[in-house]
Amino acid sequence: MLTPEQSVVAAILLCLAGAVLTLLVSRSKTVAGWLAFAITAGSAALVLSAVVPVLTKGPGHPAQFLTMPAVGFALRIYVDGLSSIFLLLAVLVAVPAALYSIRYMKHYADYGVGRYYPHSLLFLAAMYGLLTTTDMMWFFFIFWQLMTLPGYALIRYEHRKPENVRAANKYLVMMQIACAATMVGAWFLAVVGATATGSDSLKYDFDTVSANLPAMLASKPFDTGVAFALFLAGFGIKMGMWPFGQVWLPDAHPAAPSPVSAMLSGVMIKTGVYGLMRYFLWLVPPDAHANYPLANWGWLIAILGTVTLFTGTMQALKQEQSKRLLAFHSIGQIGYILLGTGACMALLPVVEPTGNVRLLAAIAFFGAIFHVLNHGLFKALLFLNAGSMLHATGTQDLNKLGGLIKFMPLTAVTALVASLSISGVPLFNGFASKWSIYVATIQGTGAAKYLAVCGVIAILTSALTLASFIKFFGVSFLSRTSALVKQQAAKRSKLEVCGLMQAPQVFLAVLCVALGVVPALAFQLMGAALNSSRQGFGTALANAAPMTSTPVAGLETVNNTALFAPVALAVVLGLMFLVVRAISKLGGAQRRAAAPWLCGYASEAECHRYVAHNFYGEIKRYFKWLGGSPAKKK
Amino acid sequence: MTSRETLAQLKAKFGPAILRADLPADNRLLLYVEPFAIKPVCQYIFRDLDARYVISIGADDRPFSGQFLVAHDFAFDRDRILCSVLTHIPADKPKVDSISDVVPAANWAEREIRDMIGIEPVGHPYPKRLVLPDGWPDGSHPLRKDFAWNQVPEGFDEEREFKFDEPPEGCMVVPFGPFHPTLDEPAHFRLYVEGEMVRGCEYRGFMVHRGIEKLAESVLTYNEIPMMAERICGICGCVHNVAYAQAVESAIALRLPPRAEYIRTIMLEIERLQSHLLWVGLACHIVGFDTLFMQSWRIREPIMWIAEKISGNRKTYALCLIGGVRWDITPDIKTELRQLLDKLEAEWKPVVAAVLKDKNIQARTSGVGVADKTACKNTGLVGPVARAAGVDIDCRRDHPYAAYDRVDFDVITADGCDVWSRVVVRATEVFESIKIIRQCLDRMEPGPLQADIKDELPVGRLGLSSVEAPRGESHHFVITGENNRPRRWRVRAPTYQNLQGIPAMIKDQQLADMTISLGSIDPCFSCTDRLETIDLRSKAVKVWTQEELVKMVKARKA
Amino acid sequence: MNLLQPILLGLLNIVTVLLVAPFCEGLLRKITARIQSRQGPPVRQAYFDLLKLLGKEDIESGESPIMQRVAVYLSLATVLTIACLVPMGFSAPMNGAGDAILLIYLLTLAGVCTLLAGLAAGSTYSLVGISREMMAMIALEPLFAIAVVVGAVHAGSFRLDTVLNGAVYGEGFPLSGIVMFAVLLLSFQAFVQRVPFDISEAETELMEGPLMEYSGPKLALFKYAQQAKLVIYSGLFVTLFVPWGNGLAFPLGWLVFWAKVFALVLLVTLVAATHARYRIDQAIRYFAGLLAVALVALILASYGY
Repeated sequence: MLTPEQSVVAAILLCLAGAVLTLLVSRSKTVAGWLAFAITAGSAALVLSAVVPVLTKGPGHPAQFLTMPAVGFALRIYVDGLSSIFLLLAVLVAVPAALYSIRYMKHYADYGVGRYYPHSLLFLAAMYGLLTTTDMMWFFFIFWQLMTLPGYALIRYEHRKPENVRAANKYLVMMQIACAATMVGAWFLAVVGATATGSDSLKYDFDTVSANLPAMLASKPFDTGVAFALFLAGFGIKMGMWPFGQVWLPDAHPAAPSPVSAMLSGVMIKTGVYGLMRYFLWLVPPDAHANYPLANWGWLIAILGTVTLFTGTMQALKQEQSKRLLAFHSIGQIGYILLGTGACMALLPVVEPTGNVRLLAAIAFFGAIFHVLNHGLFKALLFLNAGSMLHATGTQDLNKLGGLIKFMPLTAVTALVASLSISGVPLFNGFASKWSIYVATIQGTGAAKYLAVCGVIAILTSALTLASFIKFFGVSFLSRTSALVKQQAAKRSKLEVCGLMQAPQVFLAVLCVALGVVPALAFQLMGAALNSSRQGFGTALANAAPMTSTPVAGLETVNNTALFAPVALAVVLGLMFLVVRAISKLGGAQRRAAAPWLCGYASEAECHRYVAHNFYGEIKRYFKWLGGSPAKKK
Repeated sequence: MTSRETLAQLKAKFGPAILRADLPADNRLLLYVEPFAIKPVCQYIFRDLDARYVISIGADDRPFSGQFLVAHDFAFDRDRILCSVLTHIPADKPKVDSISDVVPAANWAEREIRDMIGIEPVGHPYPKRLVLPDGWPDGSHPLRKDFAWNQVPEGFDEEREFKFDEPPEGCMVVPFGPFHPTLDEPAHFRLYVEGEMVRGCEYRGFMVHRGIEKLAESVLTYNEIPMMAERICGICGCVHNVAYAQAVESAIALRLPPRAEYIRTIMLEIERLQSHLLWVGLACHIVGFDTLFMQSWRIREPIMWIAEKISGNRKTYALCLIGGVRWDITPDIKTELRQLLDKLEAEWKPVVAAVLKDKNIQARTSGVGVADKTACKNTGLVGPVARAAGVDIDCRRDHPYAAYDRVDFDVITADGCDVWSRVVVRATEVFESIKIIRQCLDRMEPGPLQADIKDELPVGRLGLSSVEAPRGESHHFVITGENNRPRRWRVRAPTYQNLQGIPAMIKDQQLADMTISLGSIDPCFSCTDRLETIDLRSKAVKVWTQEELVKMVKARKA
Repeated sequence: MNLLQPILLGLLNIVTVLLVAPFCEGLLRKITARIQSRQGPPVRQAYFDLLKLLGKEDIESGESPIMQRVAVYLSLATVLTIACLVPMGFSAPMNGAGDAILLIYLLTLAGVCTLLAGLAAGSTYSLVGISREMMAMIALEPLFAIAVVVGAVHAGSFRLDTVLNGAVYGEGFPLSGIVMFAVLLLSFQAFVQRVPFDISEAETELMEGPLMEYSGPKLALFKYAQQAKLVIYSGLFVTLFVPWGNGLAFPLGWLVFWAKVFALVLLVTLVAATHARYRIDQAIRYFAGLLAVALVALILASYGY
């Protein structure tokens, strides 16, 4: 039986081997696709075999695989609860994405898959590595580059389009800056810190740095501050935090093939969140808390999160290209995660006799982590939906879409689920995580005054998100059938994507609904995860145990101030639905189909369709200064 | 300047190009010019002499002179002159220089001439079909004399669809009308909308098929026409009726008994009262203020009753014949009318005071539907729309008719150029009308109602008449003719010009302002559509049942 | 766990809302008519209208009739579910199933159903109305949220029985509570979609906006949902801001609650009858102003004022 650490390394090696194998068989798109899927699934099984024991029985021990003490170089892998959650997310998205790719990649007539599957597998391997390595320098660098370079190749997959190459270049530059910032930060802590307490063969290791930190925080508060600021910048770039996210993310995500977009947005940017949580909350040992201005970092991150969520979503509202719209929403949703994390950090150090505030800190953290998971699921789903639309119609332009629900009912239903999820509609997963963030920020306002305002801006932004997805879903699937869709439908026998592409969408949609109706599952999972990562502030968070969660009764905060029982809600809503349906049949009215009314003279035409461009003109006008408006067509 | 001085100036400028000039009265000027001079003369009159463009008329004069006739009417408001510039066009070459590029207000009128008479306006900036229905074949012109009033043109195609312009880039098209809650009559606007902003529009109107002008020239007689004329408009029961009678009277230089003139004045003002109150109500309804809508209609209702008492009808008064009126104001009615005016004044004052103070209505109407002085000049806007832009014109004072030269009243103007100013102008004009009616009641002497007309009316005379309808100047042009009916009768209702101002008014403003902007000109589509074309199935009079209509629509769809 | 009481109370709330909603509509019409010097239809006409519509032909104009049906059913279903979250003379029946945040989001969901229905119908005018309604919702949702949040901040809890019991006033009438009272009063017409804020439906511009393509039973359900919303929002307003006497023993507390609700309906009627409709940009500016005030109130609340 492999230890969790060995399993992860095995998964990484499997992916690396798979990269070579898929390159060899890349002549056949089908064979390469199925092979890549098999390898992804195999690696996922390995990762799951690592994650499950960690979450059920607690973590193992860090394992060292390659050591070169001369240069402070060691591949040290450690799978704890926090890593497990992110690993879980990675496999939950990677497997559907790999399955989706098999048929999806066939629609690229001019591009082979030789540059696709190998890179995707390398990309996945890098994510496994980055989420488990404890080396803050060299292996961090290696995994980071292993993620960045294949990512670069994937983004410029359609390299004959100059805008894709530009997007990829931007991505590459930003990732290198982020890499450098993070490494310089680690250098600050390791080298400057190491001289203070004597050298170690694993001087860049997480545990070494952590052990050295108390002394350094006491003696060199400024240097440590700089290091943490660099971490924030580095991971901030990766996750798409304002103002860095706007630079690369909206260009990169739409350029990549849709399954890759799903991976980029669903998982890749979450590694930034992982890094942020790991470094800010797990690195500092409990005895150094007095010198560590956690609350100030929390303040900064919560504010940055609020700005990120508002700007990202407001810019998303202006978009008219499906994947670009989704990419901007990734920024917006990352803002929620940042706000949760920041609120947690701001509230955690507050000492107060009832322990209420610590409870809220834990709720905020749960909200952030849960939102990481949720965003991964629904955003991946949305990118797959966008991919299906692209596959069916050949365009990302929402202005040219309309009425797809008639031709692609299944994709439409999954897209509706994802749209409602991201908008935070109750009984879908996005609501439960946002609910936690709101509870924490608003109640936490007693300890940190600004948090309630942040929370309310988050509520406002959630209405913006809703607006944006009403538009996204409405103009593409509902509205009237557009000329382009009619033309495509006439050309092909059916527009709906095949079963191989439907399955991943259905899988993700089911997860979204399941986590929405039974969020207690996720909370129990996260509770287990925190229990298996008792390091730094993790211990405090694990001890807080702020929620009672049972699948049927739902969630309730321990202090009884907030509760959410989705099952009861679902039952009542379902019953009411049936009642209303019965009322509607009372009169025995006849149904008849007719075309919409156009004032009696104009006949239905493409020019009468109210397209995406027209939506929310007033709001767009007021927030023009915020940027992100799509470029005018020549 | 008098008409003689104006003529002298024109002669000095254009010399021999002016073939002939008639001065049938001090305030009329008929100018016959060479076809090539029509454009420069009009430009000179419109730009240099600063006259207001009124209307262009085309007439098929071939049976009489062997030529087509084109006339452009202008009004010198300060000098109280109505002027017509006429030219004859050879029958074999029905083409005339378009004046629309120098007189933009002539745009519709020239297109109408092109549709109805078939005289091509050469150099017209937008020579698109205006009046004829979608299915009407090209090259068939219903107002030509050789086109029978009940003829169905060959090649009429029910299925033919009108070819609209392409919307500008980035705009969608919101169809507005013909069936829309705000439009009480059919008209179709294609609004080019970007988000909530209107970027332009295309108008397709003239949907009410009546053929009134054609009927007047071919079927009706002089004294039957007033009864038809008052049915031109859906709200005004006597403006067109009076204007037509006056045009004929002006052509034959007939003087009216004074009492008839007072009665005409009173009825015209009663009509203005009910129309303005109606409009204030409708405008409030358009912006969602239904309480004031209901209240102003409640206040209006007694006016309808008194009109009914005078004429027997709430709306179609059948008031005028050539040379007089048919109804008298009896002493009973006089008393009642006085009481009514007092009550009306007392009720209307608080409403106006409330409206003028209301920030809510102001917010919806200020800065909306702007038409400034230049727009008024170029598009020939008239009535409250022009007066709200500070253009001080009012036919009652500028081209006095009936008894308006014997009463005192103020011409209300405002200078906001927007819908709000139009609200103010109309709401305040109500008091002026009350004032005028009171003066008429005071000054009216007993006397005959009808002038004696012994002989047949002379033939080939031109008559022009302008009446200030509630919506603005209503202009009628008449050429007297044989068989006890005019050769040509052209009606230009105020909406005909004001509607042309709409595209500029609604451009670059909110979609929500479209309805109130349109409402602010108090559009009367039936006035505009008066002549359209004859009933296509007029030979077989038939009442269509609902099933048949549905079947017909379905057949069209299929 | 005792389930009987919440079920009975829930049923009571649902039935009451279903019965009272058309009555309020009828009352509103009658009073409006009187203000406009009209006779007005009898109050029971509102019930007849709904019944009549239930039997009329149901025309489905969209690309996806199923979507239209689901959206319509869900619209009223959500509203009725919300009815179970509001204490109407008794404690909130679903007190144990959700908190104030859920309430905020369910109210949004009720609006979303209308939007989805309009989108599914696909008419140009519907979509214009949807764009407007959504813009208004963006401003209105946070307004209501802030009112609730101010209550939650003062009470330190999101529980419905705590928040919907005049929690905005905390202890001793803090300034923030009074400000929020004023703010919500000033925006109340918008929540119940009456003049001057019935922008998305503007009959004279958009011909009922999202509802334009609906007829027969679907229109009946929409109208029903809209009428129920008036009752529910009035109930929410009463419990949030005018809680006095709600807690009295039955039947006194019950009577006091409904008396206040009817008073609020009357106020809505009066305001609707004396105003013109605002344009969407004016409305948004107005809401934005209120939102700014509300944010200040929130900050005040977080400092305990």
